[in-house]
Amino acid sequence: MVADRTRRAVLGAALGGGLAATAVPTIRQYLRQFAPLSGGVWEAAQRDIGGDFSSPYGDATIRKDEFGVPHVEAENEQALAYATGYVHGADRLFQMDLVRRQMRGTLSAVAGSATVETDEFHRRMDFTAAAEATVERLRGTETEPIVEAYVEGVNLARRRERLPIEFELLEYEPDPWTATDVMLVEKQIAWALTGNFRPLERSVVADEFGEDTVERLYPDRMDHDSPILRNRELASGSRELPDGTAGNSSRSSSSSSRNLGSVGFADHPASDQTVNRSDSQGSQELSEPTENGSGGHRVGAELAAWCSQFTSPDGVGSNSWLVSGAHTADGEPIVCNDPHLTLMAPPVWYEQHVECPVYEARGVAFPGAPFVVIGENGAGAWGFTNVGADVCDHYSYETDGEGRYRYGEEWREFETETVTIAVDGGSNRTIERRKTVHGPVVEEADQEVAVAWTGLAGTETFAAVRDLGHSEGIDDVVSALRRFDAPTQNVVYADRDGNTLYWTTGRIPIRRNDGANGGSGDGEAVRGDRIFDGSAREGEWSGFEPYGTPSWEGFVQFEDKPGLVNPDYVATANQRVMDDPGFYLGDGYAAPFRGARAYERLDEAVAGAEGGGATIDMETMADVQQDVFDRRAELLVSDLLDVRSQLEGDADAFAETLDAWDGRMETDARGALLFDQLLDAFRQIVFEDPYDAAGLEDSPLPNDWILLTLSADDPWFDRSDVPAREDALIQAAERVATDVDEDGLDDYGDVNKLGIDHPLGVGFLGYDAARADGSAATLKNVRVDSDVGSSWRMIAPPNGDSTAILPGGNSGDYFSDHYDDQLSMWLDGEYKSMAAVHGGSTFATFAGEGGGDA
Amino acid sequence: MSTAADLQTALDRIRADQQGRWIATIVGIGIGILAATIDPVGIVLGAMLVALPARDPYRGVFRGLGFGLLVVGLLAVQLLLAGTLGPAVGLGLPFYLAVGIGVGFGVLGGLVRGIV
Repeated sequence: MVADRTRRAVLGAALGGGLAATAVPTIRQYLRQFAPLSGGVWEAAQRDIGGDFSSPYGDATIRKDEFGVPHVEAENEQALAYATGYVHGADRLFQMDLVRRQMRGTLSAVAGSATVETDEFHRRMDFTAAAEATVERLRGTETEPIVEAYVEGVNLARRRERLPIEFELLEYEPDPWTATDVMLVEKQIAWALTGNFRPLERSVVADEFGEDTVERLYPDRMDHDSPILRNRELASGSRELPDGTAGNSSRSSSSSSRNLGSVGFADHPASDQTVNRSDSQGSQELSEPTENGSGGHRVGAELAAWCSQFTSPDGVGSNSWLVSGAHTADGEPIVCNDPHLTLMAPPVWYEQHVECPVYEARGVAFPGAPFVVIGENGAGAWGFTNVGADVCDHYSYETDGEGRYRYGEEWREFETETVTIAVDGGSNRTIERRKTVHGPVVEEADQEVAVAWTGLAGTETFAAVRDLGHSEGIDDVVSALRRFDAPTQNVVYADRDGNTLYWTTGRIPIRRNDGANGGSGDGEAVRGDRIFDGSAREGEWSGFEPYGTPSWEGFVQFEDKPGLVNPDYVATANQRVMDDPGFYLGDGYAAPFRGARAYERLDEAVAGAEGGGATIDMETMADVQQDVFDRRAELLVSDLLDVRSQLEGDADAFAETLDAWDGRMETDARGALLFDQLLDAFRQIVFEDPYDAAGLEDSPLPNDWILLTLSADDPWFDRSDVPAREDALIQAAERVATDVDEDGLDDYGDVNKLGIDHPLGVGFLGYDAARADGSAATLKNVRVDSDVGSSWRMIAPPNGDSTAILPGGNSGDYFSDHYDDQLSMWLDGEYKSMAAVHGGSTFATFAGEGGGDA
Repeated sequence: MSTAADLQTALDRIRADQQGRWIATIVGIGIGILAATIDPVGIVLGAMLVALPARDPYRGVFRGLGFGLLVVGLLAVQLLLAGTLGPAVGLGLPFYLAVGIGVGFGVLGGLVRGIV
């Protein structure tokens, strides 16, 4: 009897305890998410998206092909946008919500305290106000109703479809999508490509190593001969130049060239090419300031490190090139583009094919906005790469400790606003957001600067992108690019008539030290690569008001930007645009390895074609896009072989392997492994160790071009904590020779494993790690350390069958067959068709008012 | 007689009768599955309902376990029909957690037979 009672008591306690445990919040959360039959994750696994709906805008149909790419057909452009919004919302809603939360600074409301710092930065920058200004800027334009219809389409999906797994894991429901959110998507990519705090970072390095050192280690112009525009020089009075038809080997129509008279560029032989300059501003006014820039005001390392967290990792860039029909097998131009952005699951881009009576386009869009950004339409194809232009300035001030800063002769109040950051499961954080005449103030550890950035205003970029989709040839494209405000981009374009175009877009400020109103300057143009004294009215922009509607009157005029109409071929890979653009363009150019390699390959292909050899076709372009030759190896391996006589034992065998290696970063190559490890070790000895010793762990290191070309005579190698260059190389080789064997590494694939993460950081939502060919400096671009690489590879002949591939899949739904169905193809260098046909099965239909069940 | 005593008597009667056990078990399964689709604790409730008619506490625990496995099996069928069983299993830990919750809650509910 006693035993029976005891048993009942024990079992009762166990049962009661077990049930009580289900009320513990953390356990309860897991149960809500993962319990069989009731768990939200399993509901998400049974999403059944698509169906028949009504539309206030007109009939539309969405078909999805074998890769989950939507083919949207509608009776008018608004109906098209509505359906596009629906399919974006159905396929990528979490990704969209994450972008807007990041830019609005509301991540912590769902993610908790881990994201408070990023929220604080984005709240201080007030990207939302810039997006609202952009909505206002587009009010009354043809773009406004398209955005409105798109937003309604997204919200249809938000209301009607089960939410994807991420919302179940974080246990929240998204707010309605808005036009401001659409514009935040533009701000997000623009900031990722042009937002920077380089002057702050370099001032910190200069404080430690001296300004001379900074000028040598971070030159704004790297000494190489592969700019985008080679062998070209500035010419004033360009309107007197031929209008582009004379001697043009492409099939440019005369009407195109006439209409481009205001642009007025000509194609010239590569040995004597002249780039146009309009005479809208005198060349003296635009002449590039020569004083180099780590000078200027100073901030502490804390602010520089804090701000730099919120800019893109090193290496975000892209490749694009075009070859005119003069050199291709079928006489038609080809456009190639692979933007190197963050690789993530799902991919940054969303592929779509959209068609209505007024236009048809296929390519990739940013989820959250309706427009094809990179792709093609019935008339032509286009692609983008980042320029590296400097469109972001930083200002410090004299303050009075009473909430005022000096601006010339005046003392002005900071524009202040109290902002509360909601934190899920933690205490909310309250900050005081401040703005000056130049822009928002970012602060950390009692240090602060104001930021002026071209994206912090009402911009027309999405109107320009819409215009690209509607374009019917090169003239329309030039008109569209005039409205392309931010980010600054290299554009390559080719049309069905055989015209080709390279142009730089985006607004580029001309800074002047204002001599009026108490300013200390004389109105001269200055470079932007320093922290300006805002109180002395240094570095003033004209025609720009933060969060307002800019006139851009004091910016570089469109005609003055580097570009070419009907180039034979041109390659862009974020390298310096040209030797002397005539104004201060930027200090953010990439090392020239990719750009030089692209030109090397194109030069060979063109010479081969002209010499009667193999002609250039899609296969040639794919081969260039998949090129894994690393030009860094040419420099480093030859230096190593120069000191080979001083190497011993394993290091000598190591050098022998490298000597026999072909420089290709292939996973099964031992030479590629040794080179990769040698480069890392050499970088560590020459830069990382001394930087760490100086407390500069958070400062960006000089790039690999500097590492590999810095002369042995450079004073850097005289430092006590830096070995002589030869010695550093020998030490690196001996270290790697030992480490590679100790670590059991056989080939490059053992270290170059690409694991693409999901933004939530939840392992099971990421893509499995895989051995990947390529490196940070190869055209086939993979950067495993920073998860950056080719986010979309496209080969697009305007008159041919275009192909492309995504690094993952088109669906953002983990449970979809199309979540990662392109990943292995992307890794293997394969492509799929971009044919503009409405294939596949019907995914959703939209009936104009009166039909459907919505 | 008290209500508890009445209940005990009814249970004893069901436990002694094979047909009664079957009917009670089927009703318990139905109620339990319905409850499990509404709330995770529904799995415990269902396991308790199918355990109570068992002839002894050991059989009760096994019945509870069986109910938990049934719930997991139903989830697998749902996912199979949705075409997402593969990726669901591929989630790894979350799927094993679902199996663990089903099994654990089933056994937990089955303990009730040792009490009543």
